[in-house]
Amino acid sequence: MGNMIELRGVTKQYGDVTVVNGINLDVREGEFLTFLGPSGCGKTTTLRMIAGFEDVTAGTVVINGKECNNIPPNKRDVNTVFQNYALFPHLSIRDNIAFGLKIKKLPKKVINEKVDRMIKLIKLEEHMDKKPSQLSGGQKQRVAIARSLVNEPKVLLLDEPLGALDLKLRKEMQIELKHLQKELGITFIYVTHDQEEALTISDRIAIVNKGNIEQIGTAEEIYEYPCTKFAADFIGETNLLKCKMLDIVDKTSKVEWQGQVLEVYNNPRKYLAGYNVYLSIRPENVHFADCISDFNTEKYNAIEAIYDEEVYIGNISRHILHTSDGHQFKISRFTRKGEHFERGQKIKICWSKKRCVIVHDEGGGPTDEEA
Amino acid sequence: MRKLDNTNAKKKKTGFWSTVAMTIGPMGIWTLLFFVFPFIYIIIVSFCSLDQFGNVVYEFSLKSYETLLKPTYLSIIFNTIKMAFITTILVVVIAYPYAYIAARARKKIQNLMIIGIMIPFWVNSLLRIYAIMNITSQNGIINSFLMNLGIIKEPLQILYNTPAVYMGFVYSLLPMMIMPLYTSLQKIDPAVFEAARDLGASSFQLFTKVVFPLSIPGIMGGVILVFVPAMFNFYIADALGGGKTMIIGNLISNQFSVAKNWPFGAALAVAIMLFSTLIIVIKNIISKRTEVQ
Repeated sequence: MGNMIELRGVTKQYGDVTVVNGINLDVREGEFLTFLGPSGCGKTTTLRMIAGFEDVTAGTVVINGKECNNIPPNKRDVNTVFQNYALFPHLSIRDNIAFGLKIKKLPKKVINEKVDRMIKLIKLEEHMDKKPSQLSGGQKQRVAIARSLVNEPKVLLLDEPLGALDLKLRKEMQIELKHLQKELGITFIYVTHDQEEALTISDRIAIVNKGNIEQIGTAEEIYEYPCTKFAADFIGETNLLKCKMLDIVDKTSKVEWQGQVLEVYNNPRKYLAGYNVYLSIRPENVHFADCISDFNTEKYNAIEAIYDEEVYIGNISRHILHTSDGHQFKISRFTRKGEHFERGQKIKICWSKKRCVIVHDEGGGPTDEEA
Repeated sequence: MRKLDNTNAKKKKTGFWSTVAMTIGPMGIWTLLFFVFPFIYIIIVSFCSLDQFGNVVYEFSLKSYETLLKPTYLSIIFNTIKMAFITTILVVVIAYPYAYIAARARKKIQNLMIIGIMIPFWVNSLLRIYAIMNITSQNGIINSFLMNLGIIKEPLQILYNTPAVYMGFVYSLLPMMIMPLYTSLQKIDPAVFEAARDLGASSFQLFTKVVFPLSIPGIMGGVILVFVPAMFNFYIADALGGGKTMIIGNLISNQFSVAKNWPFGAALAVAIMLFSTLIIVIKNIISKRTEVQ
């Protein structure tokens, strides 16, 4: 399958402020791609440039093989689902959904058929003659999605469409959206700041930070093998140790942390010696050395940490420690009865050399030598 | 037990009435004194007649209403309604672009545009009409400016004709249309504009299918505020029309001041009031149909 959307060096500046900084991205046909990032990172602006609501300062936007920089939003093969729904308050649900088709001046019969099918799909048959103000948030959202999908766009852009819904409804809608997307085979580009949502629904996730895409990959790739400090920290939780790159022997990368050598087996990216890097270790991969039967320094990295406290959350306990350089270190593990540590106690903690990743800081171009 | 209930009920009742008296009482008395009684008086007077000395005779008579149906007066009524109607259309056409630009502009410009409309509005409208007369008279600013430039040799006759009356009406009633229109246009969520564009609407379709329908409540509000005063106004037609343009406002004011025929003046007032009511009823029907809620 080919690329539905291609962004080539897409940049957006407002005066001196660069909001989107030369993004390159290919979105495949039929893919569910999510822009994930904190608010103000440029993800919505990128989406709006694809939709045509914002001009591109530099670079090109290609939709379905056609360069679209100078094509107005009403002539692009994309439709948008807005964050606050943006339904037409003066039209009934039916007329809202039919809006795009009526603009295209399709025959009445065709419009009715398509609209009926869409209303059925979103299960709002009983509400089709109501005005948007009479619907609940979730219903409005479904209408907004139907209003876009009925036009059979090549690409559907969704700007935090579930942001205004409560948690339970949001989770239901996530699954509904995912099913809808698979069923219709339309390319979805989705914007959210909710990492769980992104992990749940996306085929691929693009982590956006300060106008740059930090990493693109599947949920698993991003969680297991983040490539930047930001990506490691933004998705899930992680412990970051500030290290210096030493060298690579066979498949083992060596870094120096607080005068101690730590090793990483099979790091996906190879960094040049001497650069500042971070070692990212997920809390669930860290163990107490005493509790591991086959503990040895061949397989495990071990460091000393000082115990602070335990936070009990049902089946899982979180242990908070701090390292000799004063940084917090989190461990999460299944709660075991009778396990107890004293505040201030020195403890040897360890993690598998296969379960940690070397990452670079943002904009860490020079340290980055792709494997 | 029952006795207790009774006293309780009584207490509640007196409580209710004293609350009514204290809350809406003063305003109620005010309304009665200055609105309801004069209104009833006008209706009563309109059914009276005059004796040979010109005094009002308080006996039931339909004489004033018969006078009103004479062709001369009917044509004045018709003329008034026509003028109010044309004025309203002119005001909508002129006010719409202004209100639209104001509603979509940046906050700072929005405020400037609204203040620009409101400040002249706070000046007494009679004074503003005199100002217009001053500017547009034979030796006023416009004429002397054009003559000094040599564009015209003779001063233009701007005042004392029907277009001058329309100009005065439009000028003085414009804010009444801009304000409600601006408010209703400003309430439209900007994302709705984008949604329409996104769904393929051209600028023209955006206006006809989204902006205009959503501004109908504002237009209807403005129509009431423009149409009704345009029917009752008398000084604009007097001052700018030079007494040549007879509309119902002058006619009524003549009946009360010069001709001293109160019953006929009152009958005219009642007739035009009925017509205004009709307009408001029509407005309410349209508003209800286009209601968003």
